[in-house]
Amino acid sequence: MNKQLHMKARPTSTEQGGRNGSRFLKTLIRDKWLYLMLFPGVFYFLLFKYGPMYGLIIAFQNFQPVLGVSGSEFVGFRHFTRLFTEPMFWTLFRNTLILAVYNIVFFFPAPILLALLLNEVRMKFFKNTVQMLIYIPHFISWPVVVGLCYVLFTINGGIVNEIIIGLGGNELNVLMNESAFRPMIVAQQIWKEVGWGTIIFLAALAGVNVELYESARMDGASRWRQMYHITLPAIRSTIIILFILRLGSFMDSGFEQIFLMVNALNRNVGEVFDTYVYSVGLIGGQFSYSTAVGLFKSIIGLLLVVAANRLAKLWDEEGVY
Amino acid sequence: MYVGKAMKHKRVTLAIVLLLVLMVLAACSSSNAPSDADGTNATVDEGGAPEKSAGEDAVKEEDLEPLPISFMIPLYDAQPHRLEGNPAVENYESLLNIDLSIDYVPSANYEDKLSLTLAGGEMPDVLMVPARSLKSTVFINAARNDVFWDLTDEWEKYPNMKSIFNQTMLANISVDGRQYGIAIPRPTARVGMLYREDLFEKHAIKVPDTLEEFYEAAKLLKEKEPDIIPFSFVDQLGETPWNGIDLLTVSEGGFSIWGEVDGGLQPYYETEPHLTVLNTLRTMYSEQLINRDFAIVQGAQKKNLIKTGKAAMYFTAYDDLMGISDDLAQVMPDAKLALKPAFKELTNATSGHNGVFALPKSTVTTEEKRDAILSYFERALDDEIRRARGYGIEGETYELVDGIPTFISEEIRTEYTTHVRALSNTFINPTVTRLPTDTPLQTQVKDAFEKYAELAVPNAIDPFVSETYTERGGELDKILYDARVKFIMGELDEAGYASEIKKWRSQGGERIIEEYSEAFRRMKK
Repeated sequence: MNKQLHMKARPTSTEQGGRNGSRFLKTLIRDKWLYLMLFPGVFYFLLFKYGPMYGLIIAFQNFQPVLGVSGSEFVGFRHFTRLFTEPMFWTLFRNTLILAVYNIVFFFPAPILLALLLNEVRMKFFKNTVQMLIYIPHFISWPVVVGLCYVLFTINGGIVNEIIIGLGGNELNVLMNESAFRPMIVAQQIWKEVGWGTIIFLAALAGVNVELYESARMDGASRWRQMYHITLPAIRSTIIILFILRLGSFMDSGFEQIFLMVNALNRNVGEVFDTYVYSVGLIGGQFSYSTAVGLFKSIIGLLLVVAANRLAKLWDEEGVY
Repeated sequence: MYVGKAMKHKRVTLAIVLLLVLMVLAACSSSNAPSDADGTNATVDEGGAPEKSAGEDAVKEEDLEPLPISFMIPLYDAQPHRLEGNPAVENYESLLNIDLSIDYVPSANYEDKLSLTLAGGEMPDVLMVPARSLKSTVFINAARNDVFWDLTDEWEKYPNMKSIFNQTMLANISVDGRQYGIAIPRPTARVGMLYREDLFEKHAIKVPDTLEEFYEAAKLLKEKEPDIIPFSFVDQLGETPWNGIDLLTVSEGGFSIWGEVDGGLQPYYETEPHLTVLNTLRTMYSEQLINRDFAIVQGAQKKNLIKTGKAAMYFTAYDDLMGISDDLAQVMPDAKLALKPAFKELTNATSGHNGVFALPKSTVTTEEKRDAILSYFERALDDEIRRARGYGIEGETYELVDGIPTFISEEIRTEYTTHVRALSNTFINPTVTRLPTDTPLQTQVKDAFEKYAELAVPNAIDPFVSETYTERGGELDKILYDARVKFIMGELDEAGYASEIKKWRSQGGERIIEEYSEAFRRMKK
């Protein structure tokens, strides 16, 4: 709903500006505080997001730090050719893709479900306490999360395995196991971020008019019906926008977590573009090549966002732009 | 009318706020590698920068002004040190007439930081380049592009330094035959086995001297002490020189990873001695004579088992004997740790250096300044300077007892040794220095350093650079490492292991072999 307001507001202001300069100036003066509020955001993007993009040039160069960006020799698409012909490429591509799909399928809906559950809680104190508690894991850093996981699940005296064996079960080796790797990664992500993810949905839910529920109840709608016909449509546009934005970072797998969880026995499924960029680029010092890999990832993200946005528009939804 | 305007205002505000929120969200999710690579500009070497311009003038009037030297070095302590108000540092600075500023980088991040510094960060006057980074693309490219002073012809002028450098060490730090830094000497023979002497004595188990005896000892230990893990093993990328695999391979008559075959160089991956070692480890793993999480233990956890008395045998550097013994004594006062420095009188040699101190031309702009810094390293090797560094000021912190420097009191000793840690890694030392105050353990370790220096088997590729390895080695090493771990854990059989090695060969290993062999033949001519 808010989105629609914004879409309407924009054309009027440009019309005014285009027709009459002094009127534009007037609106500028009238809305000076708004523009002032906008300024830090725009400045931030220009300085920290658009500025550094000029460094992307090195993906097409044989970048030598000594010679700098201006002095390095241009090599065209050589680094991209190397990436696509790399024996590792398909493994990396497959692993990154599967993890991304896991993430979208299992992680993305989790905060929505949790927000819906929380929304149904009527006891304010209980709801607030739960909200507070589920935000906490977000503030725990990945190395700590992985460390906890290690202590719990290691086969050399880990608590979980001690309990399982104590109960007469079979040892569970999730840390060094290809098939357990992806579920483990997604489970950790859900544990850490699900609470934090509910914030936006809860905010959207808070905006739903209570009268709608009241009249639905008058008409005899059950809790399920109310959720289906009132709650979900109310947050639909939020879900879609967040989904499109999520697609922008589709190929990002979360470097720290994966890097710490990968070992010799799950590398076949665990090595992704992010870890590859780290070991080739930062440790190996091949900046041009790793920039090319990063650029390739970003282009996929961009294409996905554009496509998803088109699709959303096609279905009469508001996209992100 | 008024109401309507206010409403519109509200809507616009709302829309903008929402837009801002969305933009921030989008920003959070879109940070990617290229921007990371550019983040290098943000790494500023604090403290080093302001003094640099002053430095050039200072050299000329050396007698008056202390020479400012800025360092970038890895930090092995939990906290960075403060230089101001540190009596050990101040004493040292005034003795040598220098003014130190040190950028301590946590050792775990040092390679990252070095990469970024070389890619465009703020350079210090003296850049410590660890051994592993010496063969990295960034360092080799920088050296070839004239970023550092070529010091190859300087050693003649500095007798102290010349006396502690040997030819192997200098060959191993060279890039294309030239030395772009001051070698940091380290004992060549350094890897041995620590074992629980008390347990071996208690059960009358023979201290192993061969691979077979090693296995037998582990088996007996498991039998007699079921709660103890006989062999605490760690395997990470690049860990074989330290975890016993190379030592045992060498003792079986194999290479220290690379060796000479028919005038060229070959790695040991498919050789008989190495496979025998892997097979033994595989048996030991299946019989639970090894800690089962060996493939995921890393960093500080490595030494936990042996430190806490939960393991009986552990391969590591000789000089770990003292530290680990101290830690063990805290948990188990009766336990006794001993060192077995070689199997069949053989151990695998390390490269003989711990990297170099490189002097970037961008900060050390003149030959005078270069010579001044070299003179600092030279003078830091003088006996009286070394004594002052180790003990402080005579009469204040130490006095001579029968010609042996001794701290005045235990408190002063503790305080001084804490303070002087700020200076670690800012100077070079001979590999072995005997002190009158050496404990029996220290003497044992130093004896081992000296005795096995000549016997240790070197890795034949240490002096050479392979282009393919610098470019793709990191990825290729993973194939070898994964295959090794999976083989030991029984997830791969011999055929599976062989096919992984074949994969390594076809993905670049073959080229690496050729390039090293080529470099080797060129040197032989």
